Amino acid sequence: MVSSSIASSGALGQPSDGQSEAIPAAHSGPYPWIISPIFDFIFVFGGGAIALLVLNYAYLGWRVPDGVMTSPAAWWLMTVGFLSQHIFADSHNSATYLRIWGSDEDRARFKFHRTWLAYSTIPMFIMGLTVPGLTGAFVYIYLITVYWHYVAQAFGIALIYCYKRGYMLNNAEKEIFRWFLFSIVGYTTIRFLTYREFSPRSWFGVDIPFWGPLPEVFFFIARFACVGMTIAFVVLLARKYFKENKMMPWPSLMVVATVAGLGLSQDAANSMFWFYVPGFFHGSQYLAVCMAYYIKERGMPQGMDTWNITKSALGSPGMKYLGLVILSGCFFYVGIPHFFMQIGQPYSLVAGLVLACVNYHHFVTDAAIWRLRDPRCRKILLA
Amino acid sequence: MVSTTFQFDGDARPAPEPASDKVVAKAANTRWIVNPVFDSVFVFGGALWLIFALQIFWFHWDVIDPKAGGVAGSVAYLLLFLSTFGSYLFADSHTIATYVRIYSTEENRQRFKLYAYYLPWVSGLMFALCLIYPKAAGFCVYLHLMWVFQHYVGQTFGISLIYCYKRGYFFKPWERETYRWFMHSFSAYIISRILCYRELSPDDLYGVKLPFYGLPYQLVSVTKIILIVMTLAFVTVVVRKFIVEKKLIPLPTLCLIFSILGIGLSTGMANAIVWVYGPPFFHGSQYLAVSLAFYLKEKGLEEGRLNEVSQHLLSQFVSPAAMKYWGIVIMAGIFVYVGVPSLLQNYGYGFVWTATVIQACVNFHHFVTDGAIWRLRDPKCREILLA
Repeated sequence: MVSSSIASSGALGQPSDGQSEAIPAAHSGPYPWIISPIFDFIFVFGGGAIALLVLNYAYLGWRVPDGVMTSPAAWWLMTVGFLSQHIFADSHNSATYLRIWGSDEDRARFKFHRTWLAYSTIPMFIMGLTVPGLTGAFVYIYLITVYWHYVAQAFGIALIYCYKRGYMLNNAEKEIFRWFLFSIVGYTTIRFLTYREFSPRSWFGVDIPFWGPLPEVFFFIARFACVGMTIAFVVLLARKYFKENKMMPWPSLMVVATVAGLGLSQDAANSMFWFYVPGFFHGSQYLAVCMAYYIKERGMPQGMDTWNITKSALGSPGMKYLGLVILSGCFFYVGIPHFFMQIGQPYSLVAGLVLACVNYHHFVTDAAIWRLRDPRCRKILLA
Repeated sequence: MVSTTFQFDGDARPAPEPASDKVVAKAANTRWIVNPVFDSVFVFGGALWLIFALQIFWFHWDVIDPKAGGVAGSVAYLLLFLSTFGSYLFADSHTIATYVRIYSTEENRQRFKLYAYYLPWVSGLMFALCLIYPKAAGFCVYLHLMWVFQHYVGQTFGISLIYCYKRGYFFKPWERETYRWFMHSFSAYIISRILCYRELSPDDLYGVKLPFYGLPYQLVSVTKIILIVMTLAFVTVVVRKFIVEKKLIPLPTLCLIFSILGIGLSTGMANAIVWVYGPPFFHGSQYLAVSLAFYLKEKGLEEGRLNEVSQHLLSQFVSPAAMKYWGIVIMAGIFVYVGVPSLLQNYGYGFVWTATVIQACVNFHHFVTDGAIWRLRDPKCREILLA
């Protein structure tokens, strides 16, 4: 999401034009949350996912719930898992479409992403259906890149919290932060390509290839780089605390901790993370940012108070937005596979193919649409 | 749909006073819902009977086999594709069109408050009951099985009347009542057969075990006699109007009547085929054509360009507003009939079983709401439907 494109020159500063006039004195300065404190805690910076992990551990130990009938705790945790999958995870891809089709200006600006890039998924889909083994390769590429995508989004959201709360990073600091997170991505990705046990053989019924193993030396280098960047990042935080008397906002720290836990955990803990985090961390935070953006984009020209815009995110406009993205998520991830199953294609293969095609478009588009260097985007995101 | 609510007094022409101040041009009152080709295919039965003929031509009265080799296999695959695609595009989505109608504007939400805010809870409660008590599911599906044919007949009647009035073929009140009761008598005959004959009442429908109350056979005899009498009366009305007023009943109206008669009276394999393609390519498609046309014309009326919209409906059907409409009804249809059963599979409920029960529960709301929202006695509704 926002991550890869935060490329402003040092300090992003306050939204520059007009907005301050619309904000009453009591709420001057950027709004410190994306939606609201409780909402953000549960859905944006990982509180919901961590709470579910704790509940999972408390009731089931180190295992992912494996069926609704096994125990009442498993029933509740599975239900939450299913619902979060439909409400947040499946739907968050559709939020990208509302972003690029949201206004005339966006439609013009992101013409490539909503036309040629979108069309390119059609031959991809047809090839996946017709060439044996290709769907597995597409899903494999998705599995390799998905953690990078999660981290990039987490980085962007952590930065939003930093800037909303006046915790400004200069270029060097920002790059240390960025490369600390990317070093975790490098470590997990190389581990995935080096050790067979970290690469699944089958993904919900789709056979997955293994493009490795890479020489082990790459893994050791990646681990060394990850440790080095972690130390650099900790030094950066300590330096800012002692020198500038500023502490990194705790929502940013929680975002970093959650996404690091997702990448660095192993075995059952890793499975548990991957059971809850797509819905209650990645999908929900993406939807929160997109929904806030969508509403602010429409609310700000009238000079609407940022606090009121945020309130409206939890009212009718927000619910309409959520309804629309849930419906379209269901269309992609349930409707299309089911349709193809009815005309003779394997459900799991089509579901995997849809996942790969939708996310290929989603990953590429995300890198283009959430640019904080774009003044309009910055103004809305940080308002 | 429009059926049970055509209760204006003889003259169906638009009211002399426009319903809205924004109306600047008189409605176009075109002869078709959309245009001749579109209506022939999607409104008065063309697609249904073409696909029916294709299946009979290739497979006679046998079940299609998409795995068969050669051209037969390709045709079977095409038919499978059409039935699946049609269900997504027209059948599942048409019930959602009702919700778009009642939720589309603040005025509609207030006017249809009962249907928009209260009745959906009844459907929801019924569905919950069905999940808990399988016998309740059987009863709901059994009731739906009968009610659905009355609903088909009612919608056919309403759309056939639209064609009549669009073409100046006006019924006097007694003529219209004769027509109405001819259609009702047909519904009653078909429903009584289901109630009385075990062989016409399935024991199990898509995994839902159905009850059978076995009413006396005499009921069928009575409804049959009434149907014969009403058929004679209706034919008399049509012939009389032709002789006395020199007016011939519109061809689309006749096609609609014969299509619904064919659906109701078909038996065995023919009936099975008709019930595969009829929901999407007759009932669903005609409902969507009327509903989408209404939606676009209602917007046109608000913008003072009803005439323009009415005269170019086909191009309006691919306008951004129509695409949004299509997108929402199709996606919501998939959510209700595929997404929810798919989710409930995880809890031990069979996919097809759940989809069948959902269809029954959602359709009860759809049937009742339809009776309220398509009222030609409402000047605005009349103006838009007949425009």
